[in-house]
Amino acid sequence: MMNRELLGPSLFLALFTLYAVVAWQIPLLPFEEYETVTSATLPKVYAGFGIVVCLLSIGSTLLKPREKTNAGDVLEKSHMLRTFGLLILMVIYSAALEPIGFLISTSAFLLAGFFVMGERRKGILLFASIPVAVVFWFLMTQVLGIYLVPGDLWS
Amino acid sequence: MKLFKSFKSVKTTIIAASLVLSSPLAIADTHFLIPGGPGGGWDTTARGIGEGLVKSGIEGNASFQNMSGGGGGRAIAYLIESGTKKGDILMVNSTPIVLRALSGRIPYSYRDLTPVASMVADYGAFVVRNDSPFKTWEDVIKSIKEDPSSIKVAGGSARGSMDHLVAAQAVKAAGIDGRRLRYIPYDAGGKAKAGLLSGEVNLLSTGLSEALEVANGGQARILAVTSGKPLPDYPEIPTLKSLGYDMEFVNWRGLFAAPNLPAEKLAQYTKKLRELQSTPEWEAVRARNGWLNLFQEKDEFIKSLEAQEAQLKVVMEELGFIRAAR
Amino acid sequence: MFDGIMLGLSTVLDFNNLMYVIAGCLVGTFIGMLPGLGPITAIALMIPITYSIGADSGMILMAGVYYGAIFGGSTSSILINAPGVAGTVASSFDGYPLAKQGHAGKALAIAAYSSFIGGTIGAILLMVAAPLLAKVSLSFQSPDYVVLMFLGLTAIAAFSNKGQFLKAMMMTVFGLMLATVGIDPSSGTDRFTFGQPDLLDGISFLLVAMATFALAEALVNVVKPEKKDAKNINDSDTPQIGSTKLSKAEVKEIAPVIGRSSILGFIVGVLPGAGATIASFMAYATERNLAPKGLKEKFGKGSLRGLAAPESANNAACTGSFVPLLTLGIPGSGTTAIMLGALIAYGIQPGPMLMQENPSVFWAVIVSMYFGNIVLLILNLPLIPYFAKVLAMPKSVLTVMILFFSLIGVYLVSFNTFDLFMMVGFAVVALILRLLSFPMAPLLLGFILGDMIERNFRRSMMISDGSLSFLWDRPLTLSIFIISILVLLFPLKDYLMQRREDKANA
Repeated sequence: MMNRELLGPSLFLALFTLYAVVAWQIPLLPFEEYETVTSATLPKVYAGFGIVVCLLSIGSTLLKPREKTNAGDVLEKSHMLRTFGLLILMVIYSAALEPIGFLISTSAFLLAGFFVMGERRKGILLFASIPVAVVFWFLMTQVLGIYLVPGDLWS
Repeated sequence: MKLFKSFKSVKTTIIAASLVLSSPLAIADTHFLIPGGPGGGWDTTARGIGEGLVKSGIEGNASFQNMSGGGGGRAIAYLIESGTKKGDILMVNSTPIVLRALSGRIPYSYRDLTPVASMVADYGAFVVRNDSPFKTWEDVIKSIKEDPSSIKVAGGSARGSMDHLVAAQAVKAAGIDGRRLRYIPYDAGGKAKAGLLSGEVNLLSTGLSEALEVANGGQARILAVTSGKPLPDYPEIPTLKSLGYDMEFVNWRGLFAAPNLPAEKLAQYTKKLRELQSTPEWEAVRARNGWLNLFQEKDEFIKSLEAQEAQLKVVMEELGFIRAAR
Repeated sequence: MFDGIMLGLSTVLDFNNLMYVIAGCLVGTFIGMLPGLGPITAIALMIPITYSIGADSGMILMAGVYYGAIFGGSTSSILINAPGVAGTVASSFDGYPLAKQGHAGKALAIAAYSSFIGGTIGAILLMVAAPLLAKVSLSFQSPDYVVLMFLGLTAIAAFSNKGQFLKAMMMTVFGLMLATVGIDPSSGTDRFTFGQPDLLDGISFLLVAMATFALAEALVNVVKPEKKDAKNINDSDTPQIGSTKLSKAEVKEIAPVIGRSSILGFIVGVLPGAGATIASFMAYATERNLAPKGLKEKFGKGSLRGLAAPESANNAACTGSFVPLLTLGIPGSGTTAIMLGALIAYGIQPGPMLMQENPSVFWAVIVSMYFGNIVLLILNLPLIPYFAKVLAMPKSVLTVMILFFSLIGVYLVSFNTFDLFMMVGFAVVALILRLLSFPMAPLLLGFILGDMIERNFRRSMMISDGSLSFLWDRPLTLSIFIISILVLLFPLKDYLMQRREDKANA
């Protein structure tokens, strides 16, 4: 039965074990074979130490008397959906940035983001997204001379 | 909200203005692609060349794009992909492109691009502290021969990269196995200098420009330089060749273009760069940065690249950084 | 020396140069506030401009930008938990909670004052002792950095309140592991890259910081918004920005903190291998350990000391990093490396000769630092209420803006969309960890220190030809090592004494 306190350390345990497996496979260059400390040494140390810490944590949680789990940690579904929506938007933004170009992707991202957050006022949706993208673009490319992709699809 | 109402008029103006301004946003006359971050060596070189071209009137304007990552591999990939679609893109690069292609760090080599010209050069130099017991390069060689661990060489790049290879080649020319050289890597030239000056290491392998900085500061002296001929500005620094060791190494910096560059384009670029060489604006840039001119047009450039590649391949195989060819 | 100061003053008080100081500070602050565009980019962009105005003016401008950027970075750290500059990460630990509690004005004011005093003390120390300090910078070798970083790691104990120690440890190890991704500089092999060329250079600090702090924070607030009495999430709360005034008692409380942290920060900054980031973390940890029992717990929840310490330390460290730059020509950080490049481009040779051959540059830089600090304070204090107005934006807008700024900030450094995907990935992980009550700070600490510890450790091993004796060979190394062991055991002493008390009371 997975209680909340065990979830974290268990996840870490899984991660650290994976890390350890990869660490043991780090290829050594020929001249390294004679050295005591190699590329793989510290990763192995970290992995070992990390696993020990995780086990200690899991052990101490199991040994502690079971406390009443506080129910105050219920996450509302609508909020989770919102968060998920934002995450998806960020992924889309990152993917679209270079093909579609900075101005359009950013304006779209901001606009969609406000929408996901529940904002419906047209004024804010439009005027807090497009002008911001434009001003930012202006500052970067014209004032500071930093190059922002105009969009691979159109050039 | 009141705040946003005031944006309305501002917004219209901005959109109008941006539409007007966005037309020149497309690539300028020459667009420089820089495989590193702002402020680094490649960046300074590209901006210097751009400055020279624009200030002397040879070029209308120049734009610069930084694209770091993958040891320069990202920019190379980008250049290969975009080809000539995006207008005139010139990518700056230097010896590491040869090095990293050999070591497999980048999956490309200069052959995947069109080398346009080499512009400037830096040489390798070996530095010791002023109070060091080693008065000449021969002293260093003797010490290594007696006990390889007596000399610790610092360099501003990782093992197997330029500073290491230059040092390894230099000792190889003296008959010592490069693998016995104790090379201590530091994150950057500055930290390697600190390592030398703090006494952790007794020798520094670095670029000539960096070596001059610390030597002119009065804290260290340069024992040898890897140029073929003595330096015009510093004839008193012995070259390895003059000391009897057959080794020379040049870290060139040059420009590359997309793979299938049409011949007229290449001729166009070459002409502009050739003109640049004799302008006072370029001389100002060069002098300001302490670069040495090494202008080589495409064919000569390619020859040097091939020679360097062969030279480095041998050293890297010997040191065990790459497996010998099957 | 006084001639020098007079010389410096006359250079700086020149009208043009004053304008440059002011301009530099303004530009720097603005750039620092945008996460991602740090002092490095700012200064690199300034360089072409500086070519036409002469060496001393150019250096003054760049120094102004440098400080401005640090200050701007603190602002975004405090207001939106988005540390734009590595040296200001530690400021967010207590600065952001203060802002959330409605004391944004006070937090920004403390940041301003602490930074000012830290920078000033640094400038004074620099003026008085620069040549002597040069010796200090060179006395540190790789083994010393190893133990110094280890001392920094013991600061983990500083971040963990009771019961959280193991969780903090797990995060630290996670951070250490993240630092191993990429090409190992000591040997050239690539580790944990899984064939991805974008990972060869490792994961950038900014990416991790922005993902775990800014993005995660913003998302946590979406998933678990603070309970308001049935208000719509989109109404802007009238945030209490609070006044920017500090009570006499508060000033008295943080004065010694600022003093100590400035000196600590300055010394750490003088070392070429350590900079504002380590300085701020160490100052934070030191002050926490020195705080009286009741106040210790407040660290991380809005402690004034917890904000003042890193703020003074990071500015003092910035000033300190000019020591190796000017006296030895050794740049301690990316930013100073660029300044060094600029100096060389002007034809000026930093090093022991600099004071003799080009005293005007040397003193101009130092005195301008002092002025830069004053200018920053004067410019920024009145602007604080306006900065804090940022919090007045409707949550829906503010959250999305934070996401945007974080993403674009990282993009502007590497121009690599792969980094952006990684950021989102990290943000998800950080979000889950936050919901499971894991502290983020140790992750960052492990990440920063992991890299440096490994490099210095491997170097020390190479130099000592494979023996661990470097840990005790030199008195300096040995002393720092002993101090870190003591610091590690210190909380244990408290714990044991507590047990004894409990037993006695039972």
